[in-house]
Amino acid sequence: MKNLVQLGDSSCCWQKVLNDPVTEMKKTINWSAVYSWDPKYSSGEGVACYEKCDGYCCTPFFGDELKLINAEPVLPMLESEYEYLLSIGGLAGVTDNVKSEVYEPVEGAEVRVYYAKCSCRGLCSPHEFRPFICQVYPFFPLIDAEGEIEGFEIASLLDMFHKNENPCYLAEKKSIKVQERVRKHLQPLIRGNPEMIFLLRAVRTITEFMKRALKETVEIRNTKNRRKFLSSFERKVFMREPWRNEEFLKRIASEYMNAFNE
Amino acid sequence: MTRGECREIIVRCIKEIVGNDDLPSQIEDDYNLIKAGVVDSLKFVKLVLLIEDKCGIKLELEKLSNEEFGTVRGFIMLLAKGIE
Ligand code: SF4
Ligand code: SF4
Repeated sequence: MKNLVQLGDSSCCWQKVLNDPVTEMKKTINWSAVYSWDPKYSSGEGVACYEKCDGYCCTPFFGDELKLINAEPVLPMLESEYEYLLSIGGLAGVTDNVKSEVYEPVEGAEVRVYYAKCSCRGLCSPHEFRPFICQVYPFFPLIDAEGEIEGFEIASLLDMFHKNENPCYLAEKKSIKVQERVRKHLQPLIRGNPEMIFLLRAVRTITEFMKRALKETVEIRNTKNRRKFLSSFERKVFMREPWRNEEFLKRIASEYMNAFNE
Repeated sequence: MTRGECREIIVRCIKEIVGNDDLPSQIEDDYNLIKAGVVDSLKFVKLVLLIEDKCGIKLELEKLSNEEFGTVRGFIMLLAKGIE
């Protein structure tokens, strides 16, 4: 297949082959509208949620127990979101520390994704400029192929694997309220929007394949179990194992074609 | 294939993916490409695929300990085992 990095016959992932003629993915998301809500969460108990969890989602919680992947949050953004953030002044500690990769979901189509390593430890400012992934955390909406929200999934590859307790207070105690809020704000912005539909369907596919590839769970208070889990988890992510297969590539291609009616 | 020949292939592949400029002049067996910061996830995957492609084997990376993962020694061990 042409949409893979190719080394002889070995396929890598859906990374594009450089220098092929390509067309950029259409940018249809209205990021200004997406960002136009008050995304601050309270715990419902008179304190901000980060006071309930020591800012778990924004800090390098696992520290040097992670050897291969970043302990700091790495925030993926579509090119259109990254450009929007820059156009409103950027976000110090986030938009100034990015890498990007280009993918080719179908032949001739280019999707650039930025990965921002966040060093703010919860203090990104202005906080309302935090990336979409942070705004919807701890959940992202699971949508059907038409863009209707069907449910929610944990918005972090690692947090999907907690056995008992997710350190995120909102995920544990306030899930219904948070999900209702995300649904109300986002549903009108998703429906009929090809780029948004592709984004959320692709994220859904990525998480689904991650779950298939890793059959372990983690009890973060159990040091031995946690270390073993982190080692398996980060190797799979670092090696991109869940996503280096034909089935994944076909699914992503079909999500792209469905979203953009191709 | 001898250990020396395996080593030669590995080093050649590393140079192809990383480029000479970012590598030490002498690449020791315990040189860890990930810790040294010369490969990220994507380059590491490309390196694995290149070695597999050149040698016609599958590297069983899951067999490596955390200490061996990403080192020249680790690659040599897997390659030598794969072609036994
Ligand atoms: S979103 Fe969850 S993990 Fe993040 S600060 Fe709030 S409670 Fe903590
Ligand atoms: S951008 Fe802000 S909300 Fe997102 S991880 Fe960084 S500090 Fe946390």
